Amino acid sequence: MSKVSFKITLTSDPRLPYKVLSVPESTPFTAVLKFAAEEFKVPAATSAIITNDGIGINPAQTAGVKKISADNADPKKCFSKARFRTANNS
Amino acid sequence: MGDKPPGFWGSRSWIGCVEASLCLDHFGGPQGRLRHVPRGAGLQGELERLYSHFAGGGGPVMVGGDADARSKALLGVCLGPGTEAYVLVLDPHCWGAPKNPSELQAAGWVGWREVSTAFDPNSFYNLCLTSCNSEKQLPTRD
Repeated sequence: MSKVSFKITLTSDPRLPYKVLSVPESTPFTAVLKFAAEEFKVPAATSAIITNDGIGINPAQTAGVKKISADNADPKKCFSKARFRTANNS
Repeated sequence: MGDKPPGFWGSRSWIGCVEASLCLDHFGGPQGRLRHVPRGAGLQGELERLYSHFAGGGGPVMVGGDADARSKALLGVCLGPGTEAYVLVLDPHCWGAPKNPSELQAAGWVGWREVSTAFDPNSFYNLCLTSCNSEKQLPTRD
């Protein structure tokens, strides 16, 4: 089974701690996010992972998603999501 | 898009710049690149990047924060003499069809704001920098 590795940096922490995760390609990204959030002790629900050049990763994708090209697959960042409220539900 | 659990639709849960960038990608809109500004950092450190973004033809920048829950859209940046810096802020809650740009300004929907006062140092911010879609260029006005 092929594996993919990620270096995930917590950018909301000024010390920029990071974790290196290695998971099977078929792993749902929700699991990667959940695990990374647990490792960093931040809530998964308010966290997101983006590539090094700022592309957001839909957690519904699998870890081996081909959209993430080789030059921006590593490192990735995990940070707390900001919020905005749309006019419809304000 | 599958990024949220069942029950999110119709709820009063929050969304932010991350979801906005995923929507742009999902629905074939302009690309949105994300930048995280940690709590306390302020936007001073992002001014050069914002300047390059707009100077290079970049589109509006969506801004969302946590302690600062007032969403904003940046339409431009002005670096003044010394350390002064201003951003052109559009309130995305603006709706309707104004007769002219002055009406928008007079109503406070759009205006230049000094960076040090427009952003809360106690808040983190996420920025979503949108690229212009070259196939749908807006007509210029003389």
